[in-house]
Amino acid sequence: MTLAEIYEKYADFVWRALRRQGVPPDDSADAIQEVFLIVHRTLDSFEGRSLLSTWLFTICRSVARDRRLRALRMEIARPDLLVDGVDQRANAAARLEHNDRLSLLETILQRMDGDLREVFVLFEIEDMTGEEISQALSIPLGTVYSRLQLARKAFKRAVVRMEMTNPAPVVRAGGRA
Amino acid sequence: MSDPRRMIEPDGRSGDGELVTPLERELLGAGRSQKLTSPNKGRIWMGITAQILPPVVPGHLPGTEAGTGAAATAGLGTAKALTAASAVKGAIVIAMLGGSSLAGYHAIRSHGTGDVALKRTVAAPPRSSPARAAPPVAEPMAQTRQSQEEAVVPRATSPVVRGARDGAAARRQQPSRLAAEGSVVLEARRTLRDGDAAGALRRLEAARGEFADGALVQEREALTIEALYRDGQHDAATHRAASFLRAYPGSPHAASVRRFGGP
Repeated sequence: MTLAEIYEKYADFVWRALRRQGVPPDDSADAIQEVFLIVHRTLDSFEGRSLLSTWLFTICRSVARDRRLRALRMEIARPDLLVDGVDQRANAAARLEHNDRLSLLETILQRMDGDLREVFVLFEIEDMTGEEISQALSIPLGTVYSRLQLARKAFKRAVVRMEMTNPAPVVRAGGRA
Repeated sequence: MSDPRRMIEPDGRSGDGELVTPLERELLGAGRSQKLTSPNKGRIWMGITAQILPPVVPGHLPGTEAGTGAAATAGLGTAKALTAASAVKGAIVIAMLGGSSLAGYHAIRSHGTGDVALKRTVAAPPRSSPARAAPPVAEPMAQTRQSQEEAVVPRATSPVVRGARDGAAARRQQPSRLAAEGSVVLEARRTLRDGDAAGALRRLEAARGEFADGALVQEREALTIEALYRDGQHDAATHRAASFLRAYPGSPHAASVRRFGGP
């Protein structure tokens, strides 16, 4: 496949993978570019031993991790004049998106343990098989299944909790208001 | 072992084997249908192509007219390999489609032997993206589809790939471990800013034990030097600062370290 074909087919997948690895919206375009530049550089070495999506996911994971690290370093080195703690801008954005189903999903996913979230997203949203996830995350298949089981429970609990604490948006989200 | 049914499938289960609720299914459907908007997808693609190889003004190189035409065709959706490459070492053709966000180009790379090799052909993505395979059930409602396309703001000039800048330690870090390390270091920083230098030193020492090969070693050390200084341990701060500056002469924290532990 050419880079263009890969981009056309997988740009959305890459974007979702980056976002769910904690890359913020205003950084996502940059991160997508970084992923595909790495693909461009290393495509010749891709031997097809794993699925392309699995390979792309590992690149996304690495890029997202580097960006998280940089963000952490910036946060630690941040000038003291700025107020620590709550990011008011993020809160405002969150409020605006409050009723959106996608926002609800993202909130639930972000609160989920990182290891569980990875497996849950790859299986339930990105349609990867257990074997593919095992390969992408370098964990045994049994671990994939056990994490998926725990993640499903966590997801269900979070949805119930959200319905109990904030029923109105959830009803709208369900389209039955 | 075989995979369990996915939650979004009919009769899918969640949690302790309970049936998936409509809301759960709709939330997952929203996640599955989340896509880049087409303009953003095109702009990001432009950014990628612009960074792979620099543009050459059409007409300055032999064969560019033919290449431009082919690229334009590709940009309009044929997306097929271009064959109009001329034997010009390192020649590139970039076609911009009337200022639209789609671009196609054809890269020819030299391997330095005098021969010209077609390394890889890159054509513009089709204008309309093929839809992701629809989930078997719970297709998202049409009126909410727009909200599921997230607006991203591509930057005109993205930084180059930063590759392995942060080193092997960072790559080894699992997301949750990195977050945990960051949380501990940030907490130490807060403690220091609250005026409790001794408390910050205790937290940093704990972090040193827990994340010995962590990714935030420089940050931890820089904070430690500041905490030592603020705790009145000036000699220790100076000693540690010297070690820090020897180990990380180009650190972004070097100025801060000199301030609190410099000679």
